[in-house]
Amino acid sequence: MNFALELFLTTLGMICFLVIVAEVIFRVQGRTRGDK
Amino acid sequence: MNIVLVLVVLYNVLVIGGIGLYLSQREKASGQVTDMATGGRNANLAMFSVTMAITYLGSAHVYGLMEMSFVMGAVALWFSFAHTILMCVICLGTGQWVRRLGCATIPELIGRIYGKQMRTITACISAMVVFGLVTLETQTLGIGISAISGWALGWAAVVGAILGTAYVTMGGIKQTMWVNLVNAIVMYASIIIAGIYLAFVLPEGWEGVRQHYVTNGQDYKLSIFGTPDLLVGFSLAAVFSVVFAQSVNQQGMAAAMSAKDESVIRRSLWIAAPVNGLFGVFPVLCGLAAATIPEFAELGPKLAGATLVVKLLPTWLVVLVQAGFLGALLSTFAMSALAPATIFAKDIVGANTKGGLTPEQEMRLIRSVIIIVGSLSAALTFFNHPNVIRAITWLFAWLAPLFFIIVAGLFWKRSTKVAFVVVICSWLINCVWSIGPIKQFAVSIVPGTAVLENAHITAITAFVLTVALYTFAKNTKPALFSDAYLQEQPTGGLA
Repeated sequence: MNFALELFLTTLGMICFLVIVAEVIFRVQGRTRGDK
Repeated sequence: MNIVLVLVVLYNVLVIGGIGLYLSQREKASGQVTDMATGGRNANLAMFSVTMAITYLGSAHVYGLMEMSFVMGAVALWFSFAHTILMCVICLGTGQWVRRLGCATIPELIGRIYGKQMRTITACISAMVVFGLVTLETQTLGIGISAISGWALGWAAVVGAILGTAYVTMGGIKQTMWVNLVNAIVMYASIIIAGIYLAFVLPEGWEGVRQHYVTNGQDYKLSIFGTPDLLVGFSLAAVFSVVFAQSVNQQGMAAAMSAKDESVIRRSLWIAAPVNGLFGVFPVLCGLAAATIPEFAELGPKLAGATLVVKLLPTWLVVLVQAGFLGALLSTFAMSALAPATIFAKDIVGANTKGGLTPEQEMRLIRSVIIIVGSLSAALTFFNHPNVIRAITWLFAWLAPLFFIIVAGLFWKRSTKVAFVVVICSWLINCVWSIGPIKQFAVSIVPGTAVLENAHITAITAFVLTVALYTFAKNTKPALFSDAYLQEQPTGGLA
């Protein structure tokens, strides 16, 4: 695969991974939704 | 006259002026004065997400990433990942908290938690820190304009400050948000086209870049995980300083305070994080490619990537890319200039004026302070050009303790005395760590501390003190978001 495209997709994957982990942590912790 | 510079400036004048004119006419027609700091608190998902993303895309992303990737390789992308984590903390945490309390500034939030005296203390320090950031943003705007025009850095910084001040003076945060939206579209369109274009004009395409590193035994430079040393030394340090210092600073929180509601802030994460994070791919690719071509590599890490963009792309694409880059720098400058003006008007003048300021008085004051801040920073930058990264790291160190006392006051317990001791001790240690001989003495006793920057030292001090002092503190009040506090309140909620 093209190197530039590969780096772009890796970065996108990493960003999605970090966001999903953050969503899971905040939901498990229960603050984000529980406080409303 | 440099045609690229003329077209880039013309683009910015048209976008900034056009949007400013449109917003002022709309305001006249409605007969209402829009709050410059919060924009009427009705920012929708698109405007909020893009502003959040672009506010944190400054010079370090544009020129810093080219330089870092030239030296370290793709591991430099961890600077972008640190900002992705920052977006998560703001959109799922700090941003929602300030919006829920209906505050307009960070000192106001601290005042709500710890009282008026803490509000004044943090307002003075925050205004000083953010003014320092404005002078550095002025310098980077100057570097951007100087790179396009070839002008001396001092004069280029003055032009940058004039453009940046005009960006935010006309309509405050609302103006900035609209311009951000337009700039984001131009910026992303230009870097995507440029990335594809470079595949055809690089001597051996993107595959040639990969091959160069593999042949020279530097294939670790192609991976975002680099080497274990780089991963720990660079990535962890970047995440640490970016997240703790930036998650409660006024520029980012100003956007959160202007959001329509908490739901907008929470949902914006899925737009703000990729918009901010993916930007880094282009400068990293430019830095990596420039290091493989002798013509650019010999210019060194600071200039190689930027020169590659100018030399290899056609003029129309250089104009678009530079307009997008300048837009990102202007946005950061605008939000930075708005921050001390807002703190001064709301926390220093407004909070200490009997009856407060009327919306018109506040708008005039914020506008005047933005112009003063812009002029002062232009004058300072004309004569003085400190090292941007080191100065930013030092300034961030002042903000790190605020994160810990805010989190403790919102979710654990509140004590003005504890908060006071935490911030004063952290700031004192920050000052002490800035004095070379003392730092060297500490390093000679504990060699491991040599790698610690001011931001790390203050964050560690603040964290340890917050936990230790609150654990043993007596006569504390319930945290602002605790059930005990909410039950004490009459109906009407926190805000």
